[in-house]
Amino acid sequence: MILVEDLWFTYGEDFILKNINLEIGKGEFIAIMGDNGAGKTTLVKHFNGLLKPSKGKVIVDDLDTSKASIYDLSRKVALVFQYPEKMFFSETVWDEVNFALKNFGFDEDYRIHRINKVLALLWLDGLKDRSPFTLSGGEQRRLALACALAWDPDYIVLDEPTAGQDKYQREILTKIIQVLVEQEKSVIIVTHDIEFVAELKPRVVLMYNGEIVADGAAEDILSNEKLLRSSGLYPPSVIDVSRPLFDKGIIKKPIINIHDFIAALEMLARG
Amino acid sequence: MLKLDALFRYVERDTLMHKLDPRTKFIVILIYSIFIILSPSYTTQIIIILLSSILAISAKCFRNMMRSVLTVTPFFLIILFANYYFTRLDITAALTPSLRILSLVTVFTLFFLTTSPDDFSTALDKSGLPLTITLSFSLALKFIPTMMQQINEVMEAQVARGLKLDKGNILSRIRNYIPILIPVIILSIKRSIEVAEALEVRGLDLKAKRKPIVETSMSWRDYIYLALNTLIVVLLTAIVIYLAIP
Amino acid sequence: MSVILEFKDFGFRYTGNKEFTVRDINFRIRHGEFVMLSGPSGGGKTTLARAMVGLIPHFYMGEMEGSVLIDGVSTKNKEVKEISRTIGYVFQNPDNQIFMTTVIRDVAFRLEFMDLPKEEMINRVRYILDKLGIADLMYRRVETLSGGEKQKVAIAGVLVAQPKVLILDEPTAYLSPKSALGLMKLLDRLNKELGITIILIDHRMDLAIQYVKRMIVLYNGRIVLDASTKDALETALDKLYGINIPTISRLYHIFKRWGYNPPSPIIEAEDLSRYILKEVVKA
Repeated sequence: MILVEDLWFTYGEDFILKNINLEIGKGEFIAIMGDNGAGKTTLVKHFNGLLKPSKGKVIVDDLDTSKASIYDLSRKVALVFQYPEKMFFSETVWDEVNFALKNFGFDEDYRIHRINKVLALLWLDGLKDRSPFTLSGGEQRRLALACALAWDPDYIVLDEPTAGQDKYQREILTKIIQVLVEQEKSVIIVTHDIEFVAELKPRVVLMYNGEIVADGAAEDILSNEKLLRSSGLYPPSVIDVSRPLFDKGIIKKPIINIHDFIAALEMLARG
Repeated sequence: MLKLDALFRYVERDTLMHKLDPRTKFIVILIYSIFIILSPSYTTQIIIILLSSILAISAKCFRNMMRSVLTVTPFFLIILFANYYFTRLDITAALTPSLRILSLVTVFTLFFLTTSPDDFSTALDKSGLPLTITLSFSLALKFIPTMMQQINEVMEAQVARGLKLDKGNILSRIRNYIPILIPVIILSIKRSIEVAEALEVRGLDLKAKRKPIVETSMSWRDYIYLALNTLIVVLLTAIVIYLAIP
Repeated sequence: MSVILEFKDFGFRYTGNKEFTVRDINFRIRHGEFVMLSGPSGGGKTTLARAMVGLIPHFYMGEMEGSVLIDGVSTKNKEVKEISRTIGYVFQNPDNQIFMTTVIRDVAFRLEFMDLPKEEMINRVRYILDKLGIADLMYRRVETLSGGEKQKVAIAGVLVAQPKVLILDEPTAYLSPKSALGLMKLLDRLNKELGITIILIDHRMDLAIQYVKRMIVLYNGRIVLDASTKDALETALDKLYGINIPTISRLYHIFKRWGYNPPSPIIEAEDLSRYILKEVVKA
């Protein structure tokens, strides 16, 4: 469990995070949402100790992040930054994945087992000996995810995973997240991509100006237009179509994604 | 984690130091640099560091200077250690080269913290040097914070992949930096290409003369500052030559 | 309207690559159009953009087939500097095309080489900033700006040359939702008020759907679709490779499959929902 208690973070004279309280359970799937500059990335950098609280506490399982090392915390929490493929440096795909496994001191048998496993999971089996730099954009992004999953961390944090991604890459990302959720990993995505969140329907933590302004089910938060707009976001586009139907009492609640909307209409059609 | 992106970055303030013409400040650091490199005396280096600190306080950027200088202190210690270890000289002989670097860093830091890169580039353009040189210089200056930020990002990303920077002896510590160096170099090359492309499409004309939209000018303050500092360096030189202090 | 940009049997292979990145490219763009150049990553979009501004063949080495004509003149016979007076190019990351640390100096970058009187330079900078709605940023330092503001400064630095065409390469990738939407509205305004031809490179359609009139889709280096936005969404959904289709258009097709006949794939959400109320759930 990641436990954030009364967390404040200041940089220079500015408060970047103000009184954050948050509990993320094992196996939970969460989206931390908000406008640029809301403090999302600053918050998740506390989870693996890259940043230390100015005030308050962040506890990961049994580790207090203000005392634990980034190394020990990263063993539990994998933090994948925006455009992670920028960080490649190895000669082969295999070495790139192996890097973290070696850092964390795993023995060779386990490393081979894990590398094969994550490469297969991300459809990269055939590319073991290729240079990471010669892969296509989509393959590179998958490799970056493979690198982060290699050491089997319990918490996986993805910072703006859909930024600049085309439809195919988004579909693959959706599948990977679903697999991780099935494996009961905690998946935390940091994003302002409302359509992506609407499809996946995780628990949503909404931030604005360094504070958490809402925390709840995706359906509740993403259908709350006023709340979203005051946080610099826009509701998913299905809302605009489904709301008039909700207002007329035809459907029971505003619907945030297209699949649910279609399902609701089909229900109506069947009577 | 280190915060690299704030290092050596211009701090906007309204002080006397900030009002000086960049040319003045640049000439002054050139004079100091020559002195620092030639002077065998570590006492004079300390005096220069103290002087710069006072100026930094007057320019309201002492804290920024300390942060920048302290970040490079490890390198300073390595030089100190290496000198001491390999030459087996006394500690004062090892101190001089290290302090030399430290005082150079201090003097340059003060310049960058108090000089807007745009004003500096205007001053350069006025200096009569060819555009290729002045533009490269001012672009380099503009992209230093970007690069520092990038180093920071790469470091954070690799540390998040379990990289331990301070593990092992000196040699393996240097090797620990390879996963940081390679991405930083690749990113820098990519950025250079993009900047070069952008220069093309934004109409850079190397044959034309550049006429800045905002001017800088020298005033009486500049001449006084220049004279005072020249005097100080002359005095320091005299001290080194005639008093032969260590 | 007259043709401003034309690709004729264009193809390009970068030095060091075995295969052509793009090939058999033929299309014309007329004055005042608002075009979206789209397709999955790696399809060749950026390569075409480079060819439009003359970075291909003047900056990137390689083998070029066919030609690119600007106002009827081949880019081979013009310098990039010259082309950029007609065709403006905004890169994905504004940080790399902003060279100065204050807004006024950066926007004036190009003017400073043109031997203009200072007054005129200031007036031209102010005019552009005004048009972009960021006149108050004139004396600001670039590092204090938000991502959206930086993007606008980058656009200002390009527009100061008074180009007829503006190409933007994935301009929203780094922007917040609000800035991204604001940017689209701005492009629409530049298109309508100043008559600037807009070529938007992106694989998101939802933001620009109301403004984009024509879609050109690149897949594996070939043009697989060149149609009006309405036609593309109505009849060629299968050719919109890798593109994030707007929800309204997806709903349109689902209703069609169900045997209904909604008016258009690019209508406002309100109208669609009125249609649903009237036709789909009348029972």
